[in-house]
Order: sequence, then C-alpha cells, then structure tokens
Amino acid sequence: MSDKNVNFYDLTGDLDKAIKLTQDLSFLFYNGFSKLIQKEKDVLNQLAKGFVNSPLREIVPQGIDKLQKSDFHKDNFTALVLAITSIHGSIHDALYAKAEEVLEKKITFLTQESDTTFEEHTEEMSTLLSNIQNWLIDIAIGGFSDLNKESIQSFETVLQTVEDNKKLKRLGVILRGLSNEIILVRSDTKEKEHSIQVRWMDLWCKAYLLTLKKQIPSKVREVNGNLKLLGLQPYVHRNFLTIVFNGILENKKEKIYVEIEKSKFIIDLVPIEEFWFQLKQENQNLIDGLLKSNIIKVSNGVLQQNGNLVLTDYKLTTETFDILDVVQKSADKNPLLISKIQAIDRHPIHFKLPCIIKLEDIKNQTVKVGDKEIPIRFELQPTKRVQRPVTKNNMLMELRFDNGWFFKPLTSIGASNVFLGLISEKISTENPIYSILKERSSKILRDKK
Amino acid sequence: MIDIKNSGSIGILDPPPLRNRGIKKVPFVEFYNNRIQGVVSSGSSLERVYVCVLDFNTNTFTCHTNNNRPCGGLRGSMCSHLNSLLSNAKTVDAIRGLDVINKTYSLVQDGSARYSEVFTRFQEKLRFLELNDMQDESIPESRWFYTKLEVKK
Repeated sequence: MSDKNVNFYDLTGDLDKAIKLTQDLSFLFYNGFSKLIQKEKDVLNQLAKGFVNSPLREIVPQGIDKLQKSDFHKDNFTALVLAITSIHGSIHDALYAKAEEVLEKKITFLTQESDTTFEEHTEEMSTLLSNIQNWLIDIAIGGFSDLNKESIQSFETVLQTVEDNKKLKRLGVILRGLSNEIILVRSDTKEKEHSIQVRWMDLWCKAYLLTLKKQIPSKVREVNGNLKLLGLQPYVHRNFLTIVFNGILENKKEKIYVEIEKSKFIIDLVPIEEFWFQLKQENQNLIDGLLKSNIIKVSNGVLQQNGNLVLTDYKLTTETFDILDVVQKSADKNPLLISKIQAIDRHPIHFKLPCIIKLEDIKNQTVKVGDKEIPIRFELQPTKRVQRPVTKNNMLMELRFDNGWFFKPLTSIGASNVFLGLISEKISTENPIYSILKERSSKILRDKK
Repeated sequence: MIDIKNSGSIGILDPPPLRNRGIKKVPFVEFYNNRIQGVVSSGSSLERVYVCVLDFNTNTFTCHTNNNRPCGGLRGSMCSHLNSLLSNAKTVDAIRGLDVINKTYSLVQDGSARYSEVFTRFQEKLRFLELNDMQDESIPESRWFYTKLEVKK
C-alpha cells in the first residue's frame, strides 16, 4: 500500500486507491475486529488519515483508534460506518468524473432542493433498533467468518419484528438479504468469493446506518410529463424479485433519466414464474409502454432523490416514440439529467449512465471505448437470443460499475413478451400457486394472531 | 455465449423448471434434516391443515391438525394425509422420494414428533406473501444483493 495518504473526502485522482481500501476493509469485516492483524491495522490507519479536510476529521480517527484498542463502543462503530459511507459516496462521485473524462461527455445532474435530515426515533423504536445495532456490532467483532446458520437464526425473532413494521421495510429487506446470503454462502466451499464479501460489508454498513437516526424523507419533486420507457432489468435474489424500468421523463422544462422499481418477496413454495406474472399483471401498462414504445402520460408523479419515480396517476397513450431518438435528441438539445442521489445513499453500484453503443464497437461481449475494452454484463446470465435488435446499428446500454466498469444492455425486450424466457403466461395462469397460498396465508396467519 | 454483434440481439434466461405438484392438497412439503415434512389441506376448511412428519431419524410418523389435535385417520398406520405428503415429496425430488418410500414400511406412529416446528416453518414462508401487501417503497440496496446466489444453489 502506498505511503501517500489518500484524501477520501475528495477522490480526484485517487479512485483506484479508494476502491482498493474498501476491498481491504471488506476482508477486515470478514475476519472480525476482535482479531486484527497488523496488515488490517494498517488499513484502518489509512482510513483514519483520509478525512483531514472533512467534517469527519475528528470522530473518524478517534473512533478507529479505539476500535484498534478493542474498545467496541457503538460510537466507535458509528464513526467507522460514517467513514465507509463517505468513501462510497466519494467513489460514486468520482466515477461520474471519470466517465466524463473517458467518454468525453459532459454529465448534467438534476438540481436537488435539499439533502437528508434526521430526527430521533421514538423510545420503543429506539429499543428495537438498539438490539439490531448490538447484533451488527457482534457480527463486526467476530467477523462474517465466525457466523453460522444458528447464530443468524437466533436473530430471527428480532428480524421478523423489523419486517412486520412498515416504517422499517428498507432495514428489514437489507437485514433479510444479508442474513440469507451469509447462511447460504457460509455453507458453500467458495465462501470467500470476493464480490460477495464486498457487498456484505456494504450491507452491514447500510443496515447500521439505518439504525442510527430516523431519516426524514427528503423533499421530493412532483413531476408531470411524458414517460418514455427504455428498458427493464430484473434482479433475482433468494428472497426478493425486483424489476427496474429505465426511462426518460420529458416535459417542457427538462428530460430526466428515471427508474421505476417494483419488488416482491418470493418464497420457494411458489415457482418464480408466478411472481414474474404477478409483477407483470400489476404493471401491465408500463410493460405495454415499453414493448410498443408508447408514451405514458404521468401526472403528479413523485421523483425521489435516488432517481426513483413513484407513479400515482399515469395513462398509456397510443402515441409512439423512437428509443434511440429520445436519447440522441436529449444529448443534442437539452441534456439528459441524471438524478444526484442524496449523499447518504451514494454507492458505486448506483452509478449509471445511459449510452448509445454502436454495434461495430461491440466484440466478444465487450465494448470498445477509446483504447479500452469494457465488458458487457447481464444481471442474469443469458442463454437465449431475443428476436429483435434495437436498431440496425446501435444499442442502448447503461455504463455501470461494480468491482469494475461494465455495460449493461437496457433494452432487454422482445417483440411480444417483455419477460421472454423468464415467464410463461400459460404456466402461471394454470397453476396459481401464489393465489392459493396467499388465500391460505391470510386465513392461517390471521388465525395465529 | 452469444455474439451480440453478429446476432444484433441480446440475451435472456431459460424459464425455470415448473414445480408441477398438487399445491391445493399439499401446500408445503420439504426434505429437511432427514425428515419429510409438510402441510396437507383438510379438504373441508381453509383454516385447518394437517401437519405431517415422516422422521427417518427416529423412524416415526405423525399427523396433527394446526390446532394441535391428532389426526383421526392415524390408527397405527399412515393416514391419507401422510400418503398425500409422500406422493408430493416424490414430485419435489423424485430420487430422494423413491429412496425413502421403501423405508416408510418400518416407521411407527409417534405423537411427539415435531409438528409445531414444521407448522412454524410453513408460517414463516407464508409471512413473506403477506409482506408483499406492505406499502411499495424503493429499496435501492436490493440491487446490492448477489443475484447469482440463487442460480448457484
């Protein structure tokens, strides 16, 4: 590791070192704070020196120093979490700067009105969150390597209480996802798979952060205009299924790159096709708009600070648009605005930039950008081909970052069925396992209560 | 691997295999810790189910309602609920299902089997369906999860 101290509050020029530091920290979390070796102490020292000019300049070095002396008070872990969150945010911002440089393209962000504010939780909520915080601290002390199925399951009752509380849904999802990954991976021989470890620390930090203070929803923008959907991305996890629509919301004033996220909890008693089917049914207008390139009129939509658009009143029209034309015109006339995520939620994985890629620049699943070749990645590994390309010469992709740059095709649509291969309507309608169990669950669980 | 340039197209997933079994009759069946266990519908009431366990650790079987009453069909031999559970287990995992079917002849009735644990496992799964009714909120961190874990499993 270089002797030069990296200023993690402003990463200009230090992107690679900051990424390496987060990876080293992830290994530290894997081994645990109770058994720090010299190499890991060096990593912490490097972290402590990285906030000289930032508001964290006092609490981070102090907290890290105490952690190294086995003082595992929650204030010290709080300082650590704030430091890691700050690095994630700085990496996120530096990625945009780097993308501007590599693509020779000016990125314009949507002006935000305010950033996150916090207030104290109620006493009852504080007690619950304090229990979670203690559990998280225990994990950090022992390390992920010390966990097993039993130690995770001992937390199940608290976790269910969190999940049953609507106000804690986000925390519940993170904790459930983290717990499941740990249980699954700890029983796997390839448990030290690097990318998993990186995410575990990140999820741990985010969960910890959400236990600290009540995050007051930022001022959101009410938006109206024409929504032109460009693509849909599925994310499948052991307990969740998420689809994210990507699109451009256009009105007289601006063109904003937006995402519309829809999620479901899934269970192994129900074939996954049925959850896809549920999501499809619930979002049929959006899917039709995507498949047929029809404009969706949005009224009183809510644009959150992470770029997520919540639709309350919208209507599918018969007016059509050309996908690439929309993006190209955006670049030529009004810049396409990218939502600036609130500082507390910035993470490298949320870096995203829509790009039009010439087919001639694509070879062997990589895209040639200058003298570099950037790989094309799918969230889910493809095994079949979709019937139609976007156009003869171009494809629309998102430039992303997750342990390295990659392009992700946006327009994963076919001629007739947006979920090509992921859903069969015939199967889903003939075997409504979901509805049978849903009916059963409402009766049985109500009985239980 | 596909060739994007030549095909001018992008990829998708194969559909997952269909689990074609009698979900109405047997909403829940699993192989767990050397046991076949699950929940079988009563046929007369949605609120009532039978919790069935075939335990190859203790060589016992049992069948109870979710209201903690022993199944009336148990008279030293397996009841219709246990037989339904067993036939559904074969559709879930044909190899393991066939493997255990020969062992069922040596099982004996036991009222103390773990039916409450099995019913709790069923309820925990149903709980997630209920959570889907909760307010829709964006969870950006759901994209931090390692999506290939399920595929690897």
